[in-house]
Formats: sequence, C-alpha cells, structure tokens
Amino acid sequence: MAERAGLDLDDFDDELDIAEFAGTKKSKPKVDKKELSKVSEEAGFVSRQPNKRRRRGGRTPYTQQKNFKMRPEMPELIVEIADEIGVKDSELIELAIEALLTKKKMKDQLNRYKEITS
Amino acid sequence: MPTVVMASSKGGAGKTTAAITLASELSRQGEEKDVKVALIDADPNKHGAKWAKKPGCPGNLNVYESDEETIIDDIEKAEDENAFVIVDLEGTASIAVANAVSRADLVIIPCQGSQDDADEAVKTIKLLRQQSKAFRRKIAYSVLFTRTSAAIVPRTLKFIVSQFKDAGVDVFNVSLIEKDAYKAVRSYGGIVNNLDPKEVSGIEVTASNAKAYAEEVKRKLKEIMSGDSDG
Repeated sequence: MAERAGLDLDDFDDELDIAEFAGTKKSKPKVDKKELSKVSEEAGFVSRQPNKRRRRGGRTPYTQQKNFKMRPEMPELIVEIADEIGVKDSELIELAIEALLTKKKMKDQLNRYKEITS
Repeated sequence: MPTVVMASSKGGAGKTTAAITLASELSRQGEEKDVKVALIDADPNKHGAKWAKKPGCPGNLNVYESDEETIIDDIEKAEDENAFVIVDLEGTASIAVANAVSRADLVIIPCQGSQDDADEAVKTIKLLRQQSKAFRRKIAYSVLFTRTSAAIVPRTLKFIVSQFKDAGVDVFNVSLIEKDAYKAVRSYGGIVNNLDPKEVSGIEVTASNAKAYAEEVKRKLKEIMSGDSDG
C-alpha cells in the first residue's frame, strides 16, 4: 500500500542548541570614540552624565596683585600689544621688564628676575 | 560571543523586560551545559541589577553594572567571559545607547503598539543607520513589540507593524505579551518558569512566550554570526 509523504516537522519546535554560540565571535572594527560621539550627537544621542569640572591649564603662578595708575588709553595699548604678541597682561609686563634689564645690562636684577620666573 | 543590545530612546518601551526575559531564558537553557550569560545593566535606574540581586537568579547569569563611559570596555570584557552578552539601557537618547550599539551584533528595539513608541524606535533606527554608514559596519536590528495582547491585534499596532515592514525594517514574529508573570519576576526575583502558580497566573503561557522570543533571537544571531563580518 502506498505511503503518504509526511511533513518534515520533527525539529519544528526544537530549540537551537545554546552551546553552539559559545565559540562564535564576530570581529567588530574598533571605532574612534571621538568620531562615535560626533555621529551619536548628530543623531540626537547625547551624554547624560554630569560634566566633569575641568581646570583650564595648570595652576597660575600669577598670584600677587600690584595696582598702579596709568595714563589714559595705556591699558588699551597694553591689551593691544599683549594680543599681538599672544600673551596675557601679566606675562607682557614680565617680558617688558626682562627686555629693559637686558638692555640696561642690570645683571643682578636680571638674575633675580630669572630666579623669580624659573 | 554575540552581544544583544536593547535600545529605544523611549522609557517604558519594555527594554528591561526584554533584557531580563532573554537573559533568564538563555540562562535556563544553558544551565546544564555550563553556558554563561551576561546581563550588562547600563540603565542608571539599575532595575535589571536589582532583579538579579533577588533570590532565584540563575547561577550561570553574570550581571554587570555599567555606564556610558565604561560600556564599550564592559561589553568587550563580558564577551570574553560569556557565551551571550545582553545589554539593557536607559530609555533616553543617550551616548550610552550609541556606545553600546557600536559593539552590538544584534540590536533589539522594544516598542509598544503606540505612535510615541514607534517614533522613538525610528530615532534609534536612524542612529543605527548613521553609525553603519560612518563606520562601514552593518548593525543588525529588529523591532520587538511588547506588552501586546495575547488575544487581539489592535488596528494601531497593525498599522505600525505594516509601516515598519514597508520600510524594510525587520520585525520580530513573536511579541512579548502583556502578562503578570513578567512583572511578578521583578518582585519575586528568579525566572518565570520558577514562579509559584499559587501566587501568579499564566506562568505556562508566559514561559512559552519567553522561550519563543529567545528562539527567535537565537535564530537571528545564528544567521548574523555566520554572515560576513562587514555584512
């Protein structure tokens, strides 16, 4: 007597063997964290952690104050010179003093200047 | 060792339930074979980690707590020590999500049958597509509908499913049904299969749903892991 072909349902409900995943690893290229942050932020995914407080640069050596009067417009000139040279006001004064001491050949004061600024 | 990441920028979409259910079912299946499973909880609310601290957590399930800064390293470490790595994330558009999906083999996007959930799922899909493009790596993803009714399929859900499918977005055949047993494991601890039928109803149906979900994940992973590395 002819036999009907059965449906192949034997493994229909069988679970995939979990052990076969143990050794599988797919290589995933390392991504640059900065680039990843950029792509994420473009997609609207931003950092949710509080910003860490960062001190700009190191501790400044300029801790003493010296107030003196100047002629009008002199403060503006100082700012202009400092900007042009690319230094801050306090540094500019030091550079000016160094140049003066060198020009006048005031060796003792120049040595003291070097000690202070080293 | 495949890494599965639960991602959706919407809270309450079912990420933690999807993560715990998958972790529980894979651990249950792997217990006798000494297959280790990792659950990385990178949600600051730590609901997954809290569940794991309750009694009944499978012995072969390793739970790690993580955050946006350490998530990439934590995933890589867990991959070396476990057969499966499952990552649960916070329901926000955070950099932790972006970092985690960059190491994922499969991203599951849990989504309820609502427009809000679907909108947020789309946001996550856009992130995945942008990352795939930027880093030339195909990131496999699939939308998993959660808290669905076992009896009926509402019209809104049907419409959302059809929209995803029309856009070529992979959608799980199985969905996580709305069952008290899924919630009960969060208060009692342990896995659905071990709940007390005197205390909780629908254990069998829920366990069967969890198994079907885990099987679909495994089938997807098998396909992904056997494919080319650059997809």
